Amino acid sequence: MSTDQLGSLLVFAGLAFLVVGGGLGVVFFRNVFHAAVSMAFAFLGVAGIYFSLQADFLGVIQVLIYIGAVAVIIAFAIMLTRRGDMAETNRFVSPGQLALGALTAAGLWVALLGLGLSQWPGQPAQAPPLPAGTDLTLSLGQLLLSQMALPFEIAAVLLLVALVGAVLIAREDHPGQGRREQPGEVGKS
Amino acid sequence: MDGGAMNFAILWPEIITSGVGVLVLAVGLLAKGETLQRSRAAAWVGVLATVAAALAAWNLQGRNLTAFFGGYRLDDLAVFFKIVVLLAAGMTLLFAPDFLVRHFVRPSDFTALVLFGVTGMMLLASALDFITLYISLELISLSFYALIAIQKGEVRPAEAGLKYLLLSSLASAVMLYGMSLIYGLTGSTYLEAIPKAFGSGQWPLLAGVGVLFILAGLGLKVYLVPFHMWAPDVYEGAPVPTVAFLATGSSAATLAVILRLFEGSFAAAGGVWVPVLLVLAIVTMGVGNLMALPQTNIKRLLAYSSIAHAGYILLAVAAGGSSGAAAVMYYTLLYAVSTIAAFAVVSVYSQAAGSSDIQDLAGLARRSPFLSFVMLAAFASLAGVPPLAGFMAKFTVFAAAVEAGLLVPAGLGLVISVISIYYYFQVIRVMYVSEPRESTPLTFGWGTRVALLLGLAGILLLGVFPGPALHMAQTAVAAGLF
Repeated sequence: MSTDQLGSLLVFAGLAFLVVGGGLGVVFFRNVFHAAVSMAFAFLGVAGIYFSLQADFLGVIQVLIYIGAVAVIIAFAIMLTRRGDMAETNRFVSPGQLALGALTAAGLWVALLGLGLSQWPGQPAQAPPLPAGTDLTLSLGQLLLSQMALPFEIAAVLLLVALVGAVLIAREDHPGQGRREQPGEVGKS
Repeated sequence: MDGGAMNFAILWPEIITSGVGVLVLAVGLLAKGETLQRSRAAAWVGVLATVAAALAAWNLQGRNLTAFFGGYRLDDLAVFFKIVVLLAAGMTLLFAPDFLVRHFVRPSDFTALVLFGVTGMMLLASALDFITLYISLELISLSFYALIAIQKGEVRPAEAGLKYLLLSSLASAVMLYGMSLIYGLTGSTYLEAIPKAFGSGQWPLLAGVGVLFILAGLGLKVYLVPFHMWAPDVYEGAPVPTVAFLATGSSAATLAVILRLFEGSFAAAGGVWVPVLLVLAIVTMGVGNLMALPQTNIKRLLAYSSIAHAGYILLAVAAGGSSGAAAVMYYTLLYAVSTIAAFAVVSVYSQAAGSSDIQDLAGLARRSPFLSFVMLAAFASLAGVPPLAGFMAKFTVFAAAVEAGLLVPAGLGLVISVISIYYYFQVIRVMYVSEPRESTPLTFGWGTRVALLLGLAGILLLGVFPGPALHMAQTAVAAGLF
C-alpha cells in the first residue's frame, strides 16, 4: 500500500467516524438539541467525503444547505417549540427497538462486507480520474441543462409541491371558511 | 449516451397537468372572495385537464421512442399507464368536491395537488433512468403527504400523513441504496444500460442485493407484504378522495416502473428476484384476504383488499413474459376503475353517516338504489364474479401464471381468492338485507354522479368486452420495454 493510498484511507476513516458517530449521536443523545448538533457533524462528514471524491461543488453545497440551512432551521424549530426541560426530549427509542435496530444493522453490515470482499466476474465500474483543471461546476451546469434537463425540470415541480404542501399543512385556517367548531370542542382552540 | 435529444412535444400530457395545476393554485390563491363553494369549479377545471392530457397521451400512441438522452421512454406501455393514472385522477376529482367542501378543504388546493401528483405518475411511467425515476417517485410521494394531511384541525389525517411520510422516506432510502449498488457496478444510471453492463453471464451477488433493495422500496408503494403495514392506517385516517387516488394512481404508476425494471433491466437476474417475489406475492394475497375478513371499517377493508389485489398483480409480474406483463396492465386498469367506484360510494355514505363503519351501510339499497348498485358492481368485480371486469382480470393473471409453469402458485392464488368473495359479499349483504338505521335518501352532486356512472360503465364494459383494452396491453408489451 503506497503512502497515497494509506493517506486517503485514513482520511476516509476519519470522515466515516464523523458520519457514523454523528448518526449515533442523533439516536442516543437524550437532549434533542444535542441530537441536532450531532446531526450537523454527520452532515459535515458527508461533505468531507464529497471533497475526498473530488466533488467539490457538491461538498460546498452540502455545507451551505445541510449545515447552513437545514441544521440551523432545525435548531430554530427546537428553540421555538421546546418544552420546559430539554434534558429528556429525545426519548423515542426503547431498548427493544435499539436491539432490533442494532441486529439489523449488524446483519446488513456483515452481508455487505462479505459481498463487497467476494470476487465477481467483471470489476466495479470505475470513473476515470478527472484531468487536471476540470471545472466541475461548469460541467455540472451543462449537464443540468442538457442530459439532466428533464429531472431538473421535474425537481422544479417537486420543490413547488413541497412548498405548497408545507403551507397547506402549516397555515392557520381562514377566518371565514375555517372549520366549524365541533360541539364539545368549543373553546379548545 | 444516445437516445434522442430534448423533445418537449412528447411531454404534452405532463405539461398540461402541471401547467393547469399551477394555474388552479394561482387562481385559488389570488381570486378575491374565493369560497369553498366557488372553489368547486377548480375541480371541474382539473377534470378537463385530465381529459385533455389523456387525449394528448392517446395521440402519442405508437411512437415508441426514447428521448431526453435516454432518460425518458415514450412507448405504448407508458401511454397505457398514463391513461390509467389520468382516469384515476379524473374520477377522483369528479367526486372529491362533495367530500372536501363538507370537511372544509378547498377543492382548488386539492385539485392542484392531484394534478401535480398525476404529473409525477405519468413521468414515472416513462422514466428510463434512475434519476428521473427517483425524482418522479418523490414528486408523487410529496403530493400525497400534503393530500393525506390536507384535512385541517383533525388528528387522524395528520397522523396518517406522518405515517406515510416516515415509511415512504424509509422505502426511498432503501431503494436509493439499492440503486447506488447497481450504479457502482455498472457505472450508469440508465435502465437499458444495466443488462448490457452485466452481459448474459451470472450477475454479481452485490447486484442481486441491489435488485432486492429496489424491490423492497417499490414494494411499499404497491402494498407488497411485509411492507404493507402503513396501508390500513393511512386508508382509515386520510380523506376518502385522497385514498381513492392513492390506492389506484400511485400503485398503477409504480407498477409501470416495476414492469420496466423487473421485466426489462433485471430480467437476466430473474434467478434472484423471481422466487422472492413469488413467495411474497402469495403471502400478500393471503394476508390481504385473511386480514380483510374481521374488518368492521370499510376503509380498512378496502386497504386489505388493495393488498390482496397487489398479490395477484405481483404474481403476474413474477410470471413474467408478454402475457404476464399484459395481465399486469389489464388488472391495474380494472382494479383502478372498480376501486375508485367503490370509494366514490364510500365518500357519499360516510359523509352522511359521519363514520365509515360497515354497519352504517345498512339498508343502503333502500336509501339509494343507484349507489348500492354501483357498490355491488364494484365489489362483485373486485371479487372476480363473471361477467364483470374483475373476473377477466383474474383469469388473465392465473392464465399467465400457468403459462409460465407456476402451477402451484396459481392454484394457491385461486384458492385464496375464493375467500375474498366472503368479505365482499358480507358488505353487499349489509347493504341489501339489513334494516336501515336512517331512511333519509342520500344526495350527491353531479360530479359524483358522473364518477359513479363512469365506474359502472368501466366495470361492465371491461368485463363484457375485454378485447380492446387487452389488445392495447398486448401491443404495448410486444413493442418492448425500452
